[in-house]
Amino acid sequence: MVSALTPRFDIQGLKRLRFSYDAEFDLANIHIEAPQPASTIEVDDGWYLRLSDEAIVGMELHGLKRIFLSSTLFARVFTPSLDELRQHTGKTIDEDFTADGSAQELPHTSHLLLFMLGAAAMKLQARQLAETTDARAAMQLANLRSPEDRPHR
Amino acid sequence: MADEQPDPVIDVHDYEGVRVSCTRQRWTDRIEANHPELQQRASEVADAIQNPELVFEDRDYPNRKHHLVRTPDNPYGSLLATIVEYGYDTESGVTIGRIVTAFYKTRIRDDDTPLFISLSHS
Repeated sequence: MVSALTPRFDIQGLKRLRFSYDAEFDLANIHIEAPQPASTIEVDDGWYLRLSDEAIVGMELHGLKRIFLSSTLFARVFTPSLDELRQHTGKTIDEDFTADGSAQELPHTSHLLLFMLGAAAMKLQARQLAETTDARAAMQLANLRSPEDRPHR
Repeated sequence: MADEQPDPVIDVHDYEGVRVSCTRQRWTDRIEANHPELQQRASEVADAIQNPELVFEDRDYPNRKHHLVRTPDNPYGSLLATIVEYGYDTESGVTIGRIVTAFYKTRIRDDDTPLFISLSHS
């Protein structure tokens, strides 16, 4: 049976964040507060949540430019944040940068993070539901088989 | 790719004999800095590249592979995944790999495409 994971996140508790971009591999890490030891769970292709005791502590995006910014929706969502990060760090996503700041200092990036966390949580829930449905369907299928078809123990 | 050579913290050959490396600076500034659970774990990552139990193709990047080993006692996940990007190195004239990232995870997606399954680990 597939065990469901319900990540926790305190929306009001977002005080600081760190956005780190690796231009060489087009990879973004967004940390709530600061990087913490965590497990990683894939919610979609190239989209990972970082969890510590089921609390969301960050996110890793593979292909920020190549995949996320090539989508009209995500390009619109990311643009205010990328402008803000450019002002904050003096760097664009053509080079490595790390921005560390409070939610007040990085309001657009904070909003981006909340949007992405919400979307990631929904994707995770949808995936878990699909896996549970698949597992149930497989069990029902197994139960429908005639006894002689079932493997002997 | 010549900048991968100085002071590599990881310099191994993968399950297909392709050289894979990671500079100390990249390991410290990128991988450990964003994944503190991997501090002091470079040798474990190196071993995952050399002796993976499973290798998956990346879904978005055809030149990237995910090398997995089981880590049953690890509190952050029962699998260590190391993502390697492969490319032709004009200096040496051969394909080499560079570590993109690494992390512990707990699950494998049902629809992942395995490129390699180790029989020696089973």
